[in-house]
Amino acid sequence: MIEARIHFFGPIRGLIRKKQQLVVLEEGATVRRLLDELGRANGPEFRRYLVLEGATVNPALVVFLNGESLDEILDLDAPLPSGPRVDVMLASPILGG
Amino acid sequence: MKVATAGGAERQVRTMCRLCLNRCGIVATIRNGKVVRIDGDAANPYNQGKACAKGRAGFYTIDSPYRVTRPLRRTNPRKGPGIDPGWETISWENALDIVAAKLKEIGADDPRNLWRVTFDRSLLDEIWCAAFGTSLQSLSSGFFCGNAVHPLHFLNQFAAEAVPDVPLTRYILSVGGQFGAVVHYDTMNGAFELGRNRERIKVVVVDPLCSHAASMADEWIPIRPGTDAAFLLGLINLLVNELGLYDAAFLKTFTNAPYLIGENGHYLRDPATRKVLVWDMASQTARPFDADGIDFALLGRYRVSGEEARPALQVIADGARGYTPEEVSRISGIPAATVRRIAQEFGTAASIGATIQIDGRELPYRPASVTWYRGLSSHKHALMNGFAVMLLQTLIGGLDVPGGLMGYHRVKYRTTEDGLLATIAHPGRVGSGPGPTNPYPPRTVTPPQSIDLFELFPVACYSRTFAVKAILEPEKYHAPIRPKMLLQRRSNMAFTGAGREIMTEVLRSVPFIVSFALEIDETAEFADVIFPDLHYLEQLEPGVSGEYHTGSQPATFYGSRPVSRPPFDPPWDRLVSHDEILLELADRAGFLEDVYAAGNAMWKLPPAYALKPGERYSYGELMNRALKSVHGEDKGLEWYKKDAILVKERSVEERYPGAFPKPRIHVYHEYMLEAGRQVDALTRELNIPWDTSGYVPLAEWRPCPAHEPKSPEFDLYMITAKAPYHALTATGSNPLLREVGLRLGYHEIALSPEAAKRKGLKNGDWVEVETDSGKKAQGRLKLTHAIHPEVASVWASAGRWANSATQGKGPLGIHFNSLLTLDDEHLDFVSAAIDSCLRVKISKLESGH
Repeated sequence: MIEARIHFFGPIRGLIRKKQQLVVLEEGATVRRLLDELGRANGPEFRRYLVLEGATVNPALVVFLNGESLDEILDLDAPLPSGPRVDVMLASPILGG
Repeated sequence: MKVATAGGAERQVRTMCRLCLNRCGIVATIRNGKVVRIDGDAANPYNQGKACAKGRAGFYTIDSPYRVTRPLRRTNPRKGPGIDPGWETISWENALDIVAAKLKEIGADDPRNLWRVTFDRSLLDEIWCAAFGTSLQSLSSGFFCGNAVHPLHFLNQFAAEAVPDVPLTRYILSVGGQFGAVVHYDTMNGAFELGRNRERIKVVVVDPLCSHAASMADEWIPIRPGTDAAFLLGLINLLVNELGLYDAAFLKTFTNAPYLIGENGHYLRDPATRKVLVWDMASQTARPFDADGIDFALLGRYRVSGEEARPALQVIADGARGYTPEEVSRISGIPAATVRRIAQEFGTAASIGATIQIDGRELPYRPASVTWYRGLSSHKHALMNGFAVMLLQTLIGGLDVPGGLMGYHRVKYRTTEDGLLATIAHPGRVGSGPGPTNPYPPRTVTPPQSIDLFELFPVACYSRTFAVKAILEPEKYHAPIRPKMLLQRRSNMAFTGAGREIMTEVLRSVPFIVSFALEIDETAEFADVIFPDLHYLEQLEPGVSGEYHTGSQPATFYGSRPVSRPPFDPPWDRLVSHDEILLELADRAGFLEDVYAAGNAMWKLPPAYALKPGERYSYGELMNRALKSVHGEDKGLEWYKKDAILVKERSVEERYPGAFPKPRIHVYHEYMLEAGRQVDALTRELNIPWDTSGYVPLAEWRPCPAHEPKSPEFDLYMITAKAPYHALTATGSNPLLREVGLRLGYHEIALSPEAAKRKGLKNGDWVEVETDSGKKAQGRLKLTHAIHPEVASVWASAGRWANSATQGKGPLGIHFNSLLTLDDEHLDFVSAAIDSCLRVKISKLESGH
């Protein structure tokens, strides 16, 4: 099993009304699966903001997996990084916007 | 370094000027504990060891009698310009407790209700906002900065800005900007390179006003305000359709110019693979853009699966054909012969096909640049102006190659499935500056979540003007955020925002306002609590990740160091950054550990420097870790305090990335169609009145509201221009610069003698200006031939009314932003720019001033 600890930063905290969330996923789970699970767990308003389309997430959101930008990984269907724990940072625009 | 002089021992300290965004490296000379002189830092190549008049005079405000030296609390609940707030002095403890309690209350409800505004952000500002749960805004930049500039340079140059490669260029066409003259980011480097190479470069400035940049040019071409896109499209028409002066090889290989466009304006795609198709001249068939051995067609009409398709360049050529020199002349007032001559000059100077040897490598040589800025960006249809200027530079293959237009503040990029360049986001940053905001791929449109309705602007770099609209009309815009607290510093939004009347209404609507204030400016006048702010010469702020480079100069790292002590006693031994106050507030409000977590993530701190929960770190230690994580173990805070500069030569690939293989860039903006469709669908669903007619894939000229005046008596355009002796409101209270401005007519209205004669006015007359929206102001005329005869102009940053800025002598000059109209007609619903060419009538005040 993979334990993904998601830290929410920036205005997305106001939308989701929480700072952190723990999601437990099966070994080999993909980034898409993690974000789908987050969408399911956090209501329609958040799900609409999350938006998973094609290979990427809504560019207004910034996703980091163990410090690496999802934009560089570039594939929502890539498996989550190996290891029992994954640190995920999910932020909406902090600067600008 | 210490030097004994007759006046006592002197020492010199390297630091950074913070008066404008050019951020020059400077050296302060200190004698008997006082700064007595500022010079450019000879070791800093970014500004070539030079400082401008503003920077050299910067220390004159350290001992200002208007400085705030103790925390203050208002006792009068009534707020407004000129209304005495009834300030009372309170202790630091008291001020910190009051503000922390408010933060705690708002954080527990919805942290987005904290409106955090600054135009001079620090690294810690960003992680503090991330940890609290809000965004960091610089509201006023939406009114004076690069609404259209940044997206276009990110799009085609993976950079926030761009400047000509002056040592190698031969021709600079400056349209609506003042390269090398005002607070554009490359001021010092640009000015001195232009000076050194002046005889080898032709500089042509197209501007309604013979600005300071135009006065040093070879040629000034007066243009009717808001018609720049027509002029640029006229040049494009001549280059493509008549002169054949464009870089076909570059367009085929490095742009989407060969992509086939269908009848609906979208790319033609392979039905099976969804790959974009191009026309292969060799096989006379449509093939995927990335197939091997294609002989790309750039022009022509082809039948593909029964549909007519044209390469993007053909679509551009067809679209530009209507902009004949004669039509451009009708729109812009520029003679048709001049349009023809400039097209020929620019196209010839571009030297299509030429190469140059640099560091043993043969590179393309395109010594022609078109530069631009606010004159194009502060308009209705601003993004279309940007499309036109970027298209002109892209057509000649002159991006990031020797002699061409050089991007700076670079970011990383990736290749999309369509083979196109897209910048990669830095965590959490979606604004201008080092945080990339590529219009492509557009952000998915979702219901508004941000204070400025950013979710409804999928291709804009920011939408700050709409924060004002959303605050004043929240129901209309489905705005989810009603600011309950404003925390602002170094963003004089009451002055640089939507005008005095509107900003008064906005600021009165925010229940609790906290300002960090050097002096009580127009915005701090609304505060409930004020913390004394540091002068920029008193603060310690390493750039940390910020390397500055411009044109083909080396990369330089440096930052701010304190050269003077603040004239107040904070609750610490010595305050060196307002960030220390933010950290203290985070601690008292209970989110300090979140700040550390955000720092670990956003600063990418490796395990050795990671911030641990349960620990407490001083501001200095945070900077120490951030510095070491970027520059290495031996380059922490001690190194920074001692040395504070790193200069790194850049390889030829780093200096001229346009000369090397990379993803394709845009000449045709197909993504705009889908972005517009999404905005249209959502705003209809939510019943938000919204204009989506600006989502078009190609540049076109559309009139500004000022081109269709409400009545013929409004017979003049009014514009504003930046002067080289003031930077926004950062210099308004500097007595030396104020004196310079007054001597040069900073407070006067420029008008041509022809226009004055027509209206029976003369030099020195006091007049009333009235816009066709009914806004009024008074000022004194200065007649000059250095302005288009249909235009009146006032200087940006004139008309300050805060006592600290006027030094108790009352406002001088017209406050331009108070004449703006913030309605649907004047706002651009694509770039969020506000139209800043006004239509006015001017009449003499019989009673005088």
